[in-house]
Amino acid sequence: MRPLAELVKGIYKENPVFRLALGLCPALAVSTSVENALGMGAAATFVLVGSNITVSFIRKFVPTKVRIPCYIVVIASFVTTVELVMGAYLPELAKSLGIFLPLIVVNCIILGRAEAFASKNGVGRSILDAVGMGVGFTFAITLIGAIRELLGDGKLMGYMVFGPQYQPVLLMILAPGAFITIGLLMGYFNILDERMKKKTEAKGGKG
Amino acid sequence: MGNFLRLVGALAFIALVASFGLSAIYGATHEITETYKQAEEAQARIEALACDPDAFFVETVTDSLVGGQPFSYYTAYASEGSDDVLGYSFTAYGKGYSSTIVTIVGVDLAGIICGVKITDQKETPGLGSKIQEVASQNTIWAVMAGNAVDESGVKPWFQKQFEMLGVDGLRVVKSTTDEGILAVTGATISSDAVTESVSEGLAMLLSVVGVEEGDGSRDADGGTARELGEGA
Repeated sequence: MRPLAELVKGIYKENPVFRLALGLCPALAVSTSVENALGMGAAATFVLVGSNITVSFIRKFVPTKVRIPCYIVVIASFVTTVELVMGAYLPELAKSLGIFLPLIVVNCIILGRAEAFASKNGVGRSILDAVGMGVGFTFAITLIGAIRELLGDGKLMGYMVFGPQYQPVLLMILAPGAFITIGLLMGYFNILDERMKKKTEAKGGKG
Repeated sequence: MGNFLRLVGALAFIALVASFGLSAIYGATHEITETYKQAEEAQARIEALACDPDAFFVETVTDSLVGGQPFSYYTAYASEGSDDVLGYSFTAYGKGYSSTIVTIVGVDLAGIICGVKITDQKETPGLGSKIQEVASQNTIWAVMAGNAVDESGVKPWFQKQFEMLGVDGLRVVKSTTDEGILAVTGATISSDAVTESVSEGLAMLLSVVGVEEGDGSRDADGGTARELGEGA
């Protein structure tokens, strides 16, 4: 695959949330508003790039049989390092992103990409893959977050959209709202995909 | 056998490098983080009591008399060396949904809360984290048109509810029509944690320092806050 394709694939074709169904736990928990979604996306992308680089570096030394525990140690150490360093030198950033860091530990995109990509590819490609996946994840939870915040709170980015009389649909802010939104969006993207496939097939058949 | 040793060796090596690395980083950053946290707490005490920045705080740690464990509180004086007591402050630690919520509480001489400030929490973003939320009254249209009202001085609504309450006012309610602390929707555990920790801390504080004027607002049910009958 060309380097550019490694970068772009994570955004739509292999979107971690809508396509690979990875990282659903944070996608459900944190997508209550656009602001949170962007924060989680930024923190996850950062850790993803770091862990992909490290895993790609050590991939030749790690015996295949114990690779998973090794990756877990690497990822956990990296998250902890980020938490400690950020708390000491960037306290303001730590305040806005700090609550997302413990949740990254349960983000299986990180381990998923380490196992499926970084352990088999070079550092350069692993970085591209991580950035693409990170952007794709951010895009997905921001989209979910926008829908949930708009319906569940009547707001976008913390500002009212419909005015103070709007009666929010509380369900959308709570966990079921996340499942419903993700389900409908996944369905929508599947329909979109099928239509595109049919179009290319039709073209290919005639050509 | 040799293969087995190789596996164990590799795993042990990675774990060792990781732990040494982490302990080195912790050693390098711990002090800076602590200094920052203390400065932040001091600032929060001033804000919670709404007093002058040159107020002087003296920490008192009680013997393990109250509730079986030592209790630490701060007495605020108007300035260093002054006898003029402005009020008291203590730090409440509440076990929330996913973290310990740290709340700095300011109390006046009558035992009424002047203000609270949550300084540390790692609750679920979007749910429990709303205990720190500042609810904007601006619409997105006003913001885009550039005529939004300045809200920089607005306090977080959940924490503002604690102001002017005594021990018996501190209970969590779920409806706006009830009197008390309105819980954050979908985050009862976080709301309870803050309220209970503040309530317990206030009861302990009052049992230690007593209050000036008896107005009946501080009789906690269960007798946790027996007044000592002495002025502060």
